[in-house]
Amino acid sequence: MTAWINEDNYQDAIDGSESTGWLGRKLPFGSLYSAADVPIIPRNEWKQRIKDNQGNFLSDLMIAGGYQIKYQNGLNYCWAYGSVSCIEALEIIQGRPYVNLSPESLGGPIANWRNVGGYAEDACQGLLNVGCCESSFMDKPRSLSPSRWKAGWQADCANHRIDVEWDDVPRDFDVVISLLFARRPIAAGLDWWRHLVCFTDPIILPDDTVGVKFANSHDVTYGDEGWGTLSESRAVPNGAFSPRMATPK
Amino acid sequence: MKKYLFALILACSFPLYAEEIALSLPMAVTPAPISTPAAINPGDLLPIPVSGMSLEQAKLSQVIVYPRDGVMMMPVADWQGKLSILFQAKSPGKYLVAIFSTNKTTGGVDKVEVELVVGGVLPPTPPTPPTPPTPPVPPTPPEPAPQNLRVLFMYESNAGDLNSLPPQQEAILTSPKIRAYLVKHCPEETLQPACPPGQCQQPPQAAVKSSSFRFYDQHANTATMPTVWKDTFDALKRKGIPVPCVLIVGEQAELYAGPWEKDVDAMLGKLQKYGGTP
Repeated sequence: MTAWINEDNYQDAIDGSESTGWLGRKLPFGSLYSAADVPIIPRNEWKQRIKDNQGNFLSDLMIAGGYQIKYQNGLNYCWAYGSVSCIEALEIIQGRPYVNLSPESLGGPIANWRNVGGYAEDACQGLLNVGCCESSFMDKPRSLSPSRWKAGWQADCANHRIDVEWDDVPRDFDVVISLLFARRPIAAGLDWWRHLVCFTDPIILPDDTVGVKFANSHDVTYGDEGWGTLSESRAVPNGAFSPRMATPK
Repeated sequence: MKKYLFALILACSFPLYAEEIALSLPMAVTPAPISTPAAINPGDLLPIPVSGMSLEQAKLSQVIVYPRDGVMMMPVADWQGKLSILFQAKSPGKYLVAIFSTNKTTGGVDKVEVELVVGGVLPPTPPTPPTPPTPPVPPTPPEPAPQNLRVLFMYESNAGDLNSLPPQQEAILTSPKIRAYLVKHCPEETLQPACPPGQCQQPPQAAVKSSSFRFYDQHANTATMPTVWKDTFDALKRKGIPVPCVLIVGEQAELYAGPWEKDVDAMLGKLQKYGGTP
């Protein structure tokens, strides 16, 4: 699968995609904050800013911090996988050691432990109110049988939540890029793909336009070691949130 | 040595008030001793008669004076062809006046000289204006010894605030270069117990260790912070430094509290100042 999804090849991404699970935008979203209010960085400044910060964007820190690409492998929990990746990114920003978090511990209680798709909004509320535990509590990857998990996983969820606040991200590419310049991960649901991924960086694409770099949850075999890029036309989210900070620990 | 030629000028107007001073050049005969006047004052124009030398011979002679600074000296001849040297010195001191003349008979050089003392006593040297005292140079503070650090970076996670920073400064938040340094120089500490009380079953979760640095939003919830970080957070908040700011604490005391540096390299330099290199 190509790492760069654009107008010419996005159908391939849909056809060849592994499990996803994005159900679209649920309204109302309900954040106190809307990223629609974020001051927009003018487009004519984007490329220079990207060049000025080369090597110092969120994905650079995530990779240096040990972030592991996730693999949902048949589980329709992209909405939880992409959202949990945002928390992992924020914990790395905070300076906490990287821990692999369990999307199942977030999505399971919301989906009643069924293998079904979901909403970014539900994942966001789950991360605000409950959180997610370390993957090491699970009996095996992608397990939806919490009775087999190690005791204490619910308590551990309190260590990995959204703190401070989050922003509701509108269907506006300028807002998306402005958030990414501020090193804010975005759990971005994409209707065209029926998928949710974690946006991390603004990036200059091979056609010299500005696009988005994202962490997918289709294993390291996807794209460039699990990372991909999207052209502007494919990177406008239909339902997305951007948490500001993880639980201070 | 500068060569002077005798010039034929009118010199009658100069009074010969110091006739006892005379240079004698008796043609290949050792010059007679010359007496000097009792006192010559600075600025006096003194004619020194020269005897025993014809005008033709004078044209083949040289007159020198030493030292030359502030001295006017001029060989002259009057209507009768009498030779003399006009001498004037502006400053007190000892002056040597000498005539070197070619001896046609012997082919050698005859010399006659006289030492003049002007002013008798040298005037006191004008006092040198006192040199203004040099302000004391503050001693260069010794380079702090490298030590283990605890570092708290505080910022505002609102995108508008972060993006209002210069991009180079904004990069400090996610610079792998700075993180690598912090991981190396901020020792690991155990902040989370192996498992919550009463929750420990088989196998217990490993204790969480983390390096002693943090990046917190200024509105972070302190209730969930480990005590040491809550205290550090509160200490930095109390200082009232506008975000983004940083607090660097050493093993014994606080080392620095202030704004983020302008870019990654400058911020790294600040950390290295206290934590050592590389």
